[in-house]
Amino acid sequence: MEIREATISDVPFVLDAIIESEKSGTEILSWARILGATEDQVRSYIHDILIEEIEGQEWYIPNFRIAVLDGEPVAALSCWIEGETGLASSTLKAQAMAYMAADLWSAASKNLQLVASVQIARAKGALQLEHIYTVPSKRGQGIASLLIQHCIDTSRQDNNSPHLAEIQLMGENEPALRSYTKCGFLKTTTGPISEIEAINLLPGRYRVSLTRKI
Amino acid sequence: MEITEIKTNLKAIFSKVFQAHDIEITESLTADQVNKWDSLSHLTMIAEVESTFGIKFKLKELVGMKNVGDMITLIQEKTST
Repeated sequence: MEIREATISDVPFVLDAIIESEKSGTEILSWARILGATEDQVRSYIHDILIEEIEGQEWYIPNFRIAVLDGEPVAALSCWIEGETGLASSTLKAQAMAYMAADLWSAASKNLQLVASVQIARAKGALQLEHIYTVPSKRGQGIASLLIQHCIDTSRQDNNSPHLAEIQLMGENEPALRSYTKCGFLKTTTGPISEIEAINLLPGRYRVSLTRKI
Repeated sequence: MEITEIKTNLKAIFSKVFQAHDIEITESLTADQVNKWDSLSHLTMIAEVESTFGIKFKLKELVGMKNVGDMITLIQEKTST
């Protein structure tokens, strides 16, 4: 198996990885619910953000690592250092989505505030791992773990090597939680979602932050 | 537009959006230093800046702003054309 940095030709696979990981094993795509958009619309917005190449947030093609088996992409994840470009990744992502989905954004302000109120702030300076995705036919083979370890190992070679790695996900995603725990991650923060309206917008009832020292 | 005038307007916007009434507008000011500056209030602030100064930022400009100094420079450029 080869692990390589994503390029613009990987956009279709990266888009699949983003959409499926956002759903977190459910059929709920939170951006579609928040904006009142279809899945195709959300896919189109994220596609346009990927093409814009905005650094410092997860939807930036060079942040993605792709696992390739027999010439085919089988897994992906996005990794970046939080706050490295000055603004928080959540701010950059929201800015990009507000720009792309400008026609829907103002009508979605109540939903946006609800979801923002249950987010866990990412640790500044930490290696962030997001959109960890393996194609269904290759699951259970430890490919995601290899990708995670690859990102951690390569981050150690940077001049400003991070001291912490962080993964955020919905707490109900137990297979993923087990897998990350096996990789040495520990649950550090749990954000229970009490607002019933927020629960309807998200693919779970609580968010979890897992961290691991590097 | 003069920098002092831009800063006066920004102070009014920041005071309203971030409820930071005694905020000092400096070039080095960043989101980390302002209590209520989060992803959503950031977007509200940008919309207020665009409306107040009668300008429109491009996406690359928006995501490239590292501090208030970058924003002041862009406002100066856009209001002088």
